[in-house]
Amino acid sequence: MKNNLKVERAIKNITQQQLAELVSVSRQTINAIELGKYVPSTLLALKIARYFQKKVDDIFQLEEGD
Amino acid sequence: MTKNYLFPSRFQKLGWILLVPFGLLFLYFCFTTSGSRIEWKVPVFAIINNDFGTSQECLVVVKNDIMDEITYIGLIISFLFIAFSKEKDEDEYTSQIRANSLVWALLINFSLIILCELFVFGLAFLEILYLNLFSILILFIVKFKIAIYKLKKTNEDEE
Repeated sequence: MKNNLKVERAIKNITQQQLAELVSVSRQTINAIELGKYVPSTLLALKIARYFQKKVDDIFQLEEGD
Repeated sequence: MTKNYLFPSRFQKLGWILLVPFGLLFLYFCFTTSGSRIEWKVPVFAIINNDFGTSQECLVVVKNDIMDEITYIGLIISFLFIAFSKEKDEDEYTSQIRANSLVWALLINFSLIILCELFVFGLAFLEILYLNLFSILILFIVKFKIAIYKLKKTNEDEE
């Protein structure tokens, strides 16, 4: 799964730490998602999407092979 | 939120504190032989009692040195507290790392047992099974703490 979390974050101009606090996870988790090392749960994906006021699949997309 | 079975995070510190006396007691047991060490014999209720050289008895009260019971139970509780307390910033990623570490620990542990099964015989094998009481927990704690340490070290926060 790929995501454009980093881009969305840049548009809103917030840090990983700030986003992490808004969706109540650790900064390392946000970092791991951005690096593609961790696939978030549906719950966390929905929370992130709600913060950016976007649909989940505007931020997270399936890749070939998923 | 899904339920987990973890202790509150303050139990982790408690686990480390308890580990000191019980760890020392365990080492004392390792380096002394029965007969030469301190004993604390009290009457205990036994579901099964089967001492060397006696026949098996069920549901009886017997006199038993309880130092080893105290040591093992204390040690297991310390390790459980260390292994299964929440991290200070527990979230779903931590839970995934925890689950993966647990699978890794079980696989390594049982691989080691298979190796010992093949190459260790007699009483030495029994002693290995004794250590096995703790080895899963120790392997898990080492693997999990290293993974968490590595995770916390990733500091490339591109603003």
